[in-house]
Amino acid sequence: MAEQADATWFNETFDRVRNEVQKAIVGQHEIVESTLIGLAANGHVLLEGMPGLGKTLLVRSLSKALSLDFSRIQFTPDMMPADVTGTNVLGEGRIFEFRRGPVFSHIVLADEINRATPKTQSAMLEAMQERSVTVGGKRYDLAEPFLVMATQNPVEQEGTYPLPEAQLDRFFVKLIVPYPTKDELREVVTRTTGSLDQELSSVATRDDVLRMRAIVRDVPIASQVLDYALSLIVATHPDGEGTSPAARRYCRYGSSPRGAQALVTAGKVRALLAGRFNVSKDDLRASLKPALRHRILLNFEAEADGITADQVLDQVREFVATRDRDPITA
Amino acid sequence: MSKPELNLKPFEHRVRLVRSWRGAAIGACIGASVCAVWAVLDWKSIVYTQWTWLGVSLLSWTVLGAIVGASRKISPDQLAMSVDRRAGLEDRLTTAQERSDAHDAFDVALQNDAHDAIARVQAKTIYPIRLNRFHGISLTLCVIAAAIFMMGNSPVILSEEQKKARQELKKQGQVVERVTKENFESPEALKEMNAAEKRLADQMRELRKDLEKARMSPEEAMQRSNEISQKAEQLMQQSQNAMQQDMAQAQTIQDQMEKADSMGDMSPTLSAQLTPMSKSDKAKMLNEAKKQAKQIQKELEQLRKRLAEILKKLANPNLSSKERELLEAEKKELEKSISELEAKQKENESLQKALQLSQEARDVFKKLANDPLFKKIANLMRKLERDASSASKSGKGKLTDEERKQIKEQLEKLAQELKDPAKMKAYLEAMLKALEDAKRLGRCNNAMLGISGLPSMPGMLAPPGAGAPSEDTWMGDNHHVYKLDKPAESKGKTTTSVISGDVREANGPQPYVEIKAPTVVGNRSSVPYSSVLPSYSKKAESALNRQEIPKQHQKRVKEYFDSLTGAGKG
Repeated sequence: MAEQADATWFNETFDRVRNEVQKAIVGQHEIVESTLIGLAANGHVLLEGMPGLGKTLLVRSLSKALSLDFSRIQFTPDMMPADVTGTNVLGEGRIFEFRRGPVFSHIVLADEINRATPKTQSAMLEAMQERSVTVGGKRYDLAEPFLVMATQNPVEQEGTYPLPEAQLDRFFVKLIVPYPTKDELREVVTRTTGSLDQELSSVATRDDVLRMRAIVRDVPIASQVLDYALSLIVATHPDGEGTSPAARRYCRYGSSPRGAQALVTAGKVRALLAGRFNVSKDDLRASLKPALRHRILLNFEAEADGITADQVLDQVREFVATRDRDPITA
Repeated sequence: MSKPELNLKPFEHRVRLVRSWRGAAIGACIGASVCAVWAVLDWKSIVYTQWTWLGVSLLSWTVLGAIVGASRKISPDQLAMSVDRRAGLEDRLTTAQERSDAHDAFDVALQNDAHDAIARVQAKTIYPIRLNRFHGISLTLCVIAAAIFMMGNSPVILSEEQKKARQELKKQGQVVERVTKENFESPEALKEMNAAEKRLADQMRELRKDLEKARMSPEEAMQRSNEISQKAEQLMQQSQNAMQQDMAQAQTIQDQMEKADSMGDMSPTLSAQLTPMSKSDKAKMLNEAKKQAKQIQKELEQLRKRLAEILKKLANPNLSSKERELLEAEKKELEKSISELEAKQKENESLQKALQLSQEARDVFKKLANDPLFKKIANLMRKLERDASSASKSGKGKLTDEERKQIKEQLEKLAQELKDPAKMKAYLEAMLKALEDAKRLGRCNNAMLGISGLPSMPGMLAPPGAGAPSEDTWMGDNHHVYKLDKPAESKGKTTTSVISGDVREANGPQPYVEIKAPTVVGNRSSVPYSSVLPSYSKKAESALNRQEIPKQHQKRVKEYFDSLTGAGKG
C-alpha cells in the first residue's frame, strides 16, 4: 500500500530522470514531463513535430537515463510488419526459429511512424495494447516496462500515411513538439556543434519504473472529479447528452473510453508531481490536450475553418467549466 | 497513523451568514418590487399606502429572505467542494471528505494533507460578505418605488391649480378627522355606538384618508361627503325619533307614579282630605279605619242574623196579618241598615287601601322629589326635550357634550340610589335611553354638519362650522363662491329646464342645464342638482332659523331656494 513516503520517492525519482533527460534536451520541458508521465502511467507516447526538433534524442536520452533496453525503428513505406515484430527463420537444425524484431525492447522508438504503410503500422497494434506479439500462431510477451514512443511528421506532408484511429487511440498521449525558442536554439547549436558531448547516466532502473506505475494507480480520485473527467470526455462527442457546442460542430468522432483512462491516469501522475494525494480538476485540465487531442477526429467543417483539435478541446474545457459551478452559490 | 477529522463547521456557519446576506438582498428585491407595485397602485388611487407600510413591507421581505437564506440545507460534500474551489485546495477536501471512511493507499496522507490545507484557510476570506447584484437591484427598485410614491404624494409635478385643490382637500381631510375623532373615536363613543354609527364612522374615516391623500377630484369629494352627510342625517332622524319615544315613555311612567301618589281610585273628597295630612295622622287614621271596619263587620253579622230570624218567622203560615206586617217592616229596616253598613264597609276598605297606597308611593316619590339630583335632572330633561325639538327644527342640538355627560352621570347616580322601586328604575332607564339617543343624535348631527360643510364646490353651500368658510365670508362674499372658469363639457345626454329666481341681477326665468353625473369634465359638480337640492335647501333653512346668515342676505337665500324648489317641482 502506498504511503506518503512512496509519493516522495516517486517525486524524487521522477525529478532525477527528468533532470537527466534535460541534460540532453534543451528546453521542451513540457514535452519531457509529458513523456515521463506517459512512462509512469504505463502509456505510449506519440510525438509529433517537424524533423530535427529532438524527438529521437528525447527517446534515446530517456532510455539512457532509465537504463532500459532501447530499440529504434525507422519506418519507411517499404517496411513490412515482420520488420517490426520479428519473424520465423529457418535455423541451423532446419527448424524455424523466431527472430525477435525491434519491438522486443523496453523502449521502442517508432520513428516517423506515419511513413510506414497502414499494414506495418497496424503491426504495432497488438504490441502496444496487448504487450505481446503473435507470429506464426505463437504469442510472445513483451518485457515490462514496454513503452512505444512514436514520432511522426505532420500528416500533411507528402509520402505519409496517417495513423488509423484505432492505432492513435493506443497512444496514451500525443505531444506536439514545438520549435525551440531562440535561446534554446542557441543552446542546441552550441551543444551540438562543439566538442563537448553530454554523457547521460542511468538514474532509475526498470524496477523503479514498475514501482512508479504501481504508486500512480494508488492515487485516489473523488467521484465528482471523476465526473468532471467524464464530462470532458462526453463533451467531445459530436452528439448525445452533455456534448459541447464545439464538438457538435467540429467533431466527427469524440474521445473513446481510453481517452478517459488516459486523462485520469495522467491526472494521477500530475497529482503526485504536485505533491498531492488526490487528483484535482486542474490535473485533468492540464492533461486534457495531450490525452485527447489525437482521440478526436475533426470533420470537414473544422478543417475548412482551420480549427485544430486543441482549439476544440479548449472550447470543450470552457463548456464543462461553465457547468461546473460552486455548489454553494453564496 | 490516525486520520484527523475535517472540521467544516466554521465554513458552514460562514456560508449561512453569507446566504442570509444574499437572501436578505433577494428578499429586499421582492419587497422593493411589491413596494413599487403598491406605490403605483397608490399613485393611481387604487390602494393607498404610507411610508411606514412600504417600509414594513420591505423590511418583512428582507427579513424573510435572510431567514430562508440562512436556513437552506448545506450538505458536507457540497461544502467541501465549495471550499476547495474558493480556497484553491485542488479538490483535497472533496476527496478527503469522500474517503473519510476508506483505508486504502494514500488515505491517511490524504486526510492529513486536507487537514493541513484547511487549517490555512479562513472562512471569512473565502466567503466574504459583499454587495452583489441583488443588492444593487433591490436598491434600484427601492429608489423606483420611492420615486413613484413621491410622485404620487408630492406636489412637485402638479400644476398650481392642482396643488391648490390638493391643499384644499387635505384641509377638508383634517376637518373630517377632527369631526370623526370628536364624535366617533372617544372611548365613550366607541362603547356606545351602534352598528349604523360604526358604519358611518368607518365611511368618514375612509373619506378622511382619501381626502388626506388628496388624490380624488373635488367632485368626487363632494359627492362622497354628500352621501355621508345624508346618511348622518338619516341616523340623526332615527335617533331623534327614538329619543322622543323614550321621552314619552319616561313621561308615561312619571304620570303613573304621580297617579299612584294621588291615590288612584280614591274619591276626590277623600283625596282632598288626605292630601294635607301628615304621615302620623294617616297612620292613626288607618288604625281607626281598621277598628271601624271590625265594628261594622260585627254589626253587619248581628243584623244579618236578625234578618235571618225574621225571614224564618215570615215563612210560618200561621202568622196573623198584623204580626206579618210588623215583621215585614222590621225586615225592611234591617235590610236598609245592612246596605248602609255594607256601603260603610266598602268606604272603609277604600280608605284603608288609599292610606296604604299613598304611604308607599309617597314615600318613594317624596324621596325622589326631594332629591336635589332629581330637581336638576328634571331641568335637564326639559332642556333635553327642547334640544330634541330644536334639532328636529334646525338640525342642530343645543345641549353640549359636557351637559349630556353630566346628565348621564347624575342619572346613573340617582338610579343607583333609588333602584328599589321597579317603576322608578324603569323611569330612570327610559331617561337614560333618551339621553343615549340624544347623544347619538348629537353625534350624527355633528357628523352631518361637519361633513356637509366640506367641499366648497360650485352650487354647494357650506354652513359655518367645521371646515367651512367663516361666517363673514359665507355666502355674503362672492369671492369665496366657486365659479366655473370655463364652460363644462358634457359627455352625456343633457336636459334643459327653466327655473325662476334671482340668480342674476335681472329677474325672471333663467335657463339652466341639468347634467347627470358623472358627465362633466372640469371643475363642476357631478351630482345632479335635483338630488342635492332638498338637503341643501333644508340646510339653508336651518341656517336661516339659527340666524347664521347675515341679515342682508337672508331674504336673498330664501328666495333663491324657493325658486329652485319651485323649478324642481315644475
